[in-house]
Amino acid sequence: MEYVLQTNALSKQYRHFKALSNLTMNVPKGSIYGFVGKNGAGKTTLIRIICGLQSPTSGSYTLYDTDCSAPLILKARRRIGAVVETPSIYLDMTAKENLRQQYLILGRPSYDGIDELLSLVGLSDTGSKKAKNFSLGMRQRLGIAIALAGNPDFLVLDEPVNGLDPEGIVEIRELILKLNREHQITVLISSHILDELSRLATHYGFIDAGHMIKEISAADLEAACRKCVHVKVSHTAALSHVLDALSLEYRILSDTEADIYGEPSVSELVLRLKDAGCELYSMQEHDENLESYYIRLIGGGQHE
Amino acid sequence: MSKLLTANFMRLKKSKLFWIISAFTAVINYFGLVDAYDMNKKLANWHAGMEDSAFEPTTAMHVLYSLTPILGLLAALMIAIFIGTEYHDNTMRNKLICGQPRGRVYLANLLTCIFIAVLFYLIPVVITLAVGIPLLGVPHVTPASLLQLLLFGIIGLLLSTVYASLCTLIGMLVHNRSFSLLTAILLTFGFLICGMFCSSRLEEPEYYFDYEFIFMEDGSHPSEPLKNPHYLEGNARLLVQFLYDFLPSGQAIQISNLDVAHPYRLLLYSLGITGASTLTGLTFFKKKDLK
Repeated sequence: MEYVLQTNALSKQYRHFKALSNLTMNVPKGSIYGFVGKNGAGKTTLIRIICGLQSPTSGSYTLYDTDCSAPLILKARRRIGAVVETPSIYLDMTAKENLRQQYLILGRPSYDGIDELLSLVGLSDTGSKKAKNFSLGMRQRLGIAIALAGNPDFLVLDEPVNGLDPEGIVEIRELILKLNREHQITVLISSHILDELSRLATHYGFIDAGHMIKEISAADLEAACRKCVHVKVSHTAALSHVLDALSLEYRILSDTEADIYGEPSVSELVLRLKDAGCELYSMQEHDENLESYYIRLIGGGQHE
Repeated sequence: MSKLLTANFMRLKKSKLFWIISAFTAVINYFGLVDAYDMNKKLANWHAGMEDSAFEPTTAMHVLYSLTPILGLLAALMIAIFIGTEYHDNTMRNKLICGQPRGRVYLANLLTCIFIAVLFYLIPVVITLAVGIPLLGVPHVTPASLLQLLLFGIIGLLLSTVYASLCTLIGMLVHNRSFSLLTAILLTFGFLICGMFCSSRLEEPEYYFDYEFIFMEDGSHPSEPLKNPHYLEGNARLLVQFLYDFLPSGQAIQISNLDVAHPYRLLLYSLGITGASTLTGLTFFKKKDLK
């Protein structure tokens, strides 16, 4: 598989606080990589490092196969567009003036394409309105437009839907999908809004306390998030015999708890357990989604 | 570098503060010239009735660099806001994310700030030459005095770069715009106060010669000139003279008074401060963690 970004044991230490600890991640080309973690987990630190705003304390990363210590990393970085935390826009300029500024910094020969960019992010009709008078959603979209000014192959978005209204969230989602599908832009998104992320991402990376807990593709995650029935019994050894006999998939969690996948017949299960001398104390249906998967992963401490 | 400079100058062109300070400098200089003209007229009338009048009117050359002492404050205000906005609006990130090397970003900002400071320095000079010469006239100018004026002008240009490099250093290393503005203003104001203090201490006369107005304890006048206790001597005088020559504010006061004791030393000091502050700024900015 071809990767846009790969990090290798990346660490970042701020005085006494370790923000990243031996973090290894791989962002496949053409993917929408959802970067998930709680506040302070190290998501923004990683994004700042790959954008060249900060240097790693140890470890390395490659961007388009260029090592971060190589002089050519600056050239590789020209293929990135990023919105880190808050949109980087001049508040006393209009949307068009902001884009002109970015065009000048990039050294683009003309201002061609600015109108198309504004149209792409839905800011065509802002006219002479200064960015300081924009809503949060408009600023966010202008930030994305600036990130797109250099025609990047890799777009890094840090919490792009934070503070947006539902309509704004849908607009940003559609924009990201459009950029990924129509313009083949690889996207790295960090977000707290897991439900929203689950509608976009093709790959996930779960980070906690600066460590990468798990990287998984959306297809594998979907398989891992199957419906299951959580049961509490007197002893799981007898339960496993019964489930084997019923040809049901299951996972033993402890001596008394297990998850049964699929939709078992409750009455048949109860009867068979009774015959095997096993008491059934409770049954709970679990419909796992990204959120519960994340909670189990981060909070449960039992990583696959 | 040219891309960053073009972007900076485009932003400068749209800066209201830049035009306000430029206009303010031009206007106060103009009114200063008009005031000098009125004063010349009044003094000429007053001296007209006196027999051995030694009236020397203020000419355009006398006030050519008269606004230089406040240059530091104006440059600090503009530069701190100009660079601070890049941190305040987080737009510094846009330059780095798209692969511009940090050294280039620093130097492009430094060159823009030097342009700002030099412009604020030159506006009053140009206004004085354009309006002051027809209004106040020029004294008899010898080639030597013209060269001296030119040398003072070069000292002014270099001290503008000193202010620009110091304010760029503060602006690029201090993340908070308000804090960097406060630091730059306090620093340049501190320089100004220090320069004025040095000037006043060095101008203290060694002796009081007008001793007929001084009364001793017994009511008599002193028989010879009295030693001024505030007159600086020895190492103290050397230190204050060094500060007066070294600080850009001291240099500004000297050229505004058209009284520069060590012109070439001043040029060297300015070059040294500009070089040292730029190297320091570049070194720390390259290592700085940006948010």
